[in-house]
Amino acid sequence: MNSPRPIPDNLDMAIMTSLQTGIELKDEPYRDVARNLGLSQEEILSRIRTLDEAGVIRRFGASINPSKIGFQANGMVVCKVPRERLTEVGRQLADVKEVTHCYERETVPEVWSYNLFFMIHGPTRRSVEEIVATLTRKLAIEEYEIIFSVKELKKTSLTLQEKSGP
Amino acid sequence: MSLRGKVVAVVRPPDQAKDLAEAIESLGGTPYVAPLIEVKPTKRPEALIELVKATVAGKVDIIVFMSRNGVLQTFEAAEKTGLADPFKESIKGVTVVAVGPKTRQELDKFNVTEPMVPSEYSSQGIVKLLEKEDLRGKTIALPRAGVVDNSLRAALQRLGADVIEAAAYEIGPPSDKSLIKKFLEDLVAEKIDTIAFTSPSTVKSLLKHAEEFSLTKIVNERLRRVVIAAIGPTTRKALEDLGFKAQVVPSEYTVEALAKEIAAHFQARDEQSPSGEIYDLDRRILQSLQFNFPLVVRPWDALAERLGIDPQTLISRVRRLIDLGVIKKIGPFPDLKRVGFKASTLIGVKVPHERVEEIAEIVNRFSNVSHSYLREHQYNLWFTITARDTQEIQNTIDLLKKKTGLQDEDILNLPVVSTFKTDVRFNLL
Repeated sequence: MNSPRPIPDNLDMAIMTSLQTGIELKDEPYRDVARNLGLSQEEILSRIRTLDEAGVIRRFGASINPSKIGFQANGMVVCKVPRERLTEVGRQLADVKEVTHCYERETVPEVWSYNLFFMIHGPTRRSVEEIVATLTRKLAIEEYEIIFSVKELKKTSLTLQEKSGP
Repeated sequence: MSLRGKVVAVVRPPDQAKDLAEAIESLGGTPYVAPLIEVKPTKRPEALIELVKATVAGKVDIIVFMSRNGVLQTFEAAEKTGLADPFKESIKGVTVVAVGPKTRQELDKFNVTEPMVPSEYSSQGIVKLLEKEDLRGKTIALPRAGVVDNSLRAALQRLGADVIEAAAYEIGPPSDKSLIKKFLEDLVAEKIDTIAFTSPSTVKSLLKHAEEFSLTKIVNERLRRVVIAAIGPTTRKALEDLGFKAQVVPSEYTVEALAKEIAAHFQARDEQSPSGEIYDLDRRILQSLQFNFPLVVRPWDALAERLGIDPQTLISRVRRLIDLGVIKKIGPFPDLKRVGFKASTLIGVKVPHERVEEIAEIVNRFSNVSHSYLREHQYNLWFTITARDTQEIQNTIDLLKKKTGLQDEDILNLPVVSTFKTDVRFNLL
């Protein structure tokens, strides 16, 4: 595509906003959205594909509640990784399929020195601990803690607003 | 057994729709009455009058009523020709056959009691009932709908009977078609789960009107998705002849049995997947939905084909997985940084044990807060704030402190420096 339009543009935002609570369980789930926005279904899909390829959409599909499929344990692993190794370790963790989130975060002097965070879900605490033990050994992460969740209090996605744009 | 949550279209004329509508309601379903046909007195009553006269003249041995309307119109014709009383009198000497219980009830109103009723409420049932008799030389009167196939007449003639067939009434399109149009639109809009066809004429009318309103293609598609129910084999055959399959045909051809059979059909479908349990097929579905969702106009068709199941099964399984809370959403997951939310932070808070619930509730009320967990740590309440910029995050933290009385030293603010991965998918195979 050689169009100079910004991605996402207002129409892209409107599409993502319309679909943010999920597509409908209808034979043609984009029909209503297309009609409301005055586009064809193919145009909607072509824009979604473009957004997907551009990385504006991380992925398109189902999100699953891990606790409902037997992944009862969720461990947030906080690690102290030397600056010079941080990018390398972060990338390696990103390649591990059990890791769902991995971020470098700011530290707080004197209070909080863990700078790399990743998340592991598993059927039991033990299973999470085993994965973490393997990963930290392999990646030579020496200082870390697993902070297990006790209870989920809120897990909703952020709501895009109709007029929000970059 | 229940029809809870199901919308069942009843396509008979209003005066006949009542019984089926009530049967559906009594099972918890929602009847959608959309008469596709209207019953009118025949425009050419001559044959019916002849039939009445032949009966009065004692020339008729057996009279077979195929519907409530047949009874009503025949007695009406007798009334109009001034033969009401002689007809009622002479019919006492005639063997009366009613196709089913509703027809028998109608006869009862005219004091014709205890007619013969076949065990199968259909034309075939009548043939089976009457072939036990010696029909040679017998005259059978057959008042019935105007435009019908003549297979019953032919069968009775093969058994040696003389048949006086007469159009007692005509079935035509309703004079007001707005209800049909609305019905077809609602069908296309997926507001109807089941259509209960109660005669071949209802089947034909539906397709004829789909054509009339230029909805043929889309109506045909919907008919392959909804549950099609037929009251008996004749209606099933009419559907088959037009390329549709009735998934539900009760073993007894009454509206009550039809409603029950529809409920049983849905129950059987649900029982394939008892609540709460995730079966192999569900795992395969979840896997495809997470890792390989097709970006096409008809994604369920494409997915169903890939999984080797029919789209209806797929959609009902997915709906169940959503209801169970297994699937939270199916759709696009934007990279929030790319859609205007540049700032994201993780907050850890030290909350005294006794204030956890109170403070969690205050925190969760903020629309920019998500992923809030109670965790085992001295910082025990953790959540993320996603915002347009760091100022908005600071404002949120300030507001939170104000509302909870928490101090800076109770709060860890850990903004994202770089993202290595956000991909919350679970391998289920």
